[in-house]
Amino acid sequence: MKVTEEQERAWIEDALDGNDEAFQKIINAYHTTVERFARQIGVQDQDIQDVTQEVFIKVYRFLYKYSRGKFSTWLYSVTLNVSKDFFRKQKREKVKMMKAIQEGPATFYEDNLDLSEDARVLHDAIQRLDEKYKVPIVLFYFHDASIKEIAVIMNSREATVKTRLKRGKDMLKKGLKEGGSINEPRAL
Amino acid sequence: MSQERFEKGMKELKNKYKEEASTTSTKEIFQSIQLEKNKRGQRQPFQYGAVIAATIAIFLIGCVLIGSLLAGNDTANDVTESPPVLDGVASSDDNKKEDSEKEETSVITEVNRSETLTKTAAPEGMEEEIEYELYVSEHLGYSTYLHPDMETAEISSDGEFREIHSIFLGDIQVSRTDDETGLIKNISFAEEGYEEVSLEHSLFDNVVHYSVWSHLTDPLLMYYVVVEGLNGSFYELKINLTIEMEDGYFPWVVETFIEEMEFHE
Repeated sequence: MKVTEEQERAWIEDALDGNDEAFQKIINAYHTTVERFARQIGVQDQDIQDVTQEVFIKVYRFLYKYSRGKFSTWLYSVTLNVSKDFFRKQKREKVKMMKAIQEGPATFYEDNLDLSEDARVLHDAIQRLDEKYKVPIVLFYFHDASIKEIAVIMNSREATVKTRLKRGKDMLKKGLKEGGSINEPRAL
Repeated sequence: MSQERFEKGMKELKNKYKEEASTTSTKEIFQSIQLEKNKRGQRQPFQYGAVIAATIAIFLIGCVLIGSLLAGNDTANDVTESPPVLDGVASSDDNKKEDSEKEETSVITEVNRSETLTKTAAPEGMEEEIEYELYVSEHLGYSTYLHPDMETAEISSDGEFREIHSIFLGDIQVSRTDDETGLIKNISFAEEGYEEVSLEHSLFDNVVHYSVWSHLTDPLLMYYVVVEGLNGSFYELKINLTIEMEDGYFPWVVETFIEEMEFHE
């Protein structure tokens, strides 16, 4: 669904005036993008609904704070922050998660995808990338975001984004060449 | 060739991702928004009540104070309370006094950095701006930016000097060693009742080491971070926080503290 900027602005203004129908239109137009982006940066299938809902609750609660720039850029940054929060909570519930893993394996995005060998290697390698490389790669290659937009979403400098994109890409290419193994430099 | 293979693979992935059906129901999202809306609606009368109650309380306290002044009760002026002095802990007043003494006797390290730094934090996923204040540690030889509500204490015991920057229930403890073998690493944390948490996502850039520890019985977390300073020195940071504080702005305060650390001779 392609949304024009005028349409988008009108929905936001109406939603801010309390028009539920306008907010419903925003959800309809963007929920797939939010879901896809959250999944690509590592949110698992069983959690995707919670994360997507949380993103739109935050959008509803803080829509008045969105003032300028592309709405989608703001939405990506809300999704990124909600996902990061989610990862933090997940980390805390490690024990619970261990139990869940013992009960049955988590379902991942790729289980449902019918991919060629190269695409599967790339998909696996992207999932294993550190967040600082994964997010720019996902936004640049799968969401057509510009370097400038990625810098805004990640609250980083454009030069940092460029470096991370290049390093991420090099790691993926190396992984592809070696059939899937990536040796990612860690901050540890 | 490898570029071509890469581009082709990424293009295929992009298309496959797009083909994937959405699993979230827009109806359910909308219902959760409605629930949120109702919750907010219910909260408002309580908030009005709280404001009225606070106003009455302030008015009553004001009346009592004015009353006691009019009655000529000036005994309070005769009492000067001194803060308790803890063994080895310098209070902020002491620090100020020491600082002014130092200014008279020694040369203060000149740090060419802006007095304040504004950065965006996103507690609970929403952005807010925090104006941090420059902090220069003469003793440990570094500078960084602190949240304006942070309080600093200095502790020396057994020849070890530590700075503690605390805010609410969290703190950042900093010490320095010029010998890598002197690093605590993770030895004693298990003895303190912590177990290490495995991390899938990196928390800090440009640090020599970090690990996250969760307390086995209390809702506490600890980050242990080692940062390399000048001339082979290392800075150890023990960051203590409650689990609830992870949802607030404290992680951003910690991130800024570490990212903005600069070292001086």
